[in-house]
Amino acid sequence: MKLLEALVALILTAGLLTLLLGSYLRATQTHNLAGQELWPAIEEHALHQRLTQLITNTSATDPHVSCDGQTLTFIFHNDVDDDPQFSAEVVGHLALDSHNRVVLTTWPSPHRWDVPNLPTRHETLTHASTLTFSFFEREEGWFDSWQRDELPTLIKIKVGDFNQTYALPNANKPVRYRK
Amino acid sequence: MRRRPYLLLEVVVALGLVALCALPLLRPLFAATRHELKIASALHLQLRADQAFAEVRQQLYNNDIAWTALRKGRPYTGNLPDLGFTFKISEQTKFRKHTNTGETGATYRLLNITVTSGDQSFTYELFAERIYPSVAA
Repeated sequence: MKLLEALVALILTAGLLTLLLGSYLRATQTHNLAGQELWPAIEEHALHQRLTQLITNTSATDPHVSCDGQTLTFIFHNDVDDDPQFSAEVVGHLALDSHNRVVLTTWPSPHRWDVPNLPTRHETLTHASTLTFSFFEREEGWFDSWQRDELPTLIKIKVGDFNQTYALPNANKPVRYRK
Repeated sequence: MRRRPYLLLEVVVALGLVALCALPLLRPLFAATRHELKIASALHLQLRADQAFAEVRQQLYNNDIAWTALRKGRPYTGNLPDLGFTFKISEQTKFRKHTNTGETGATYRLLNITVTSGDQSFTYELFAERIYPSVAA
């Protein structure tokens, strides 16, 4: 092999490697960008699923929902839990803590467990800088706070850019028209 | 015996073959990326569809959509420009409840609410009732 041929071969090899590695780099960068797009979507979806589960299981037999616009306290059915105190109806409290975490605090319903020092559980749902609630009642409209002994029809929850409306169990009643 | 040197052409062909073998290695990466973007888009769309349904539900609760607009065979259509959805409300079934005197006391409609964005559609169900004055009072 002549020197010239060896040089040309080396240049071609370098060009080919540049092309291949460049393509790989671009593909990896695109993949990372897709991952950055996917992760918030999965987080939002998980939050939506959890909030749907909580709000649709709000107790209709013990309809307690209170909110000052920033925090929400409600009684919901927690299904079956290893700890009997956390099975069935429990009290839930949704609020934003000082570390910008949306935290769900649950404790046994005082109506069912008349004992001192009830245990609490804390569950971080997501991170956000703002958390607001608003409530819809049919034929009345939207309210920023709720202090009634009945459930609203819909709850709008805004967690940062996340904005969803959830139907409470009594929203399953038909839409009513009066002639 | 003197060995014949490699020709440049042979080297080029060999490099080309190496490249051909290496390119399929990138395919799974591109496929995974496409798949991730598709999932992210589907998740976003599902959230927006749920929100669109909540908007339509609110319009129905407020009676912004008239009862007479919810007839069978004549779907009611509308737009939700903020969410980028259109919606269609169609009657799936209807039945009447009569009073003891034989008058119609209430009419119930099971509604199919379809929200659409592009070629993606999501269908929800909701009951609507019309109470006649004598019964409502």
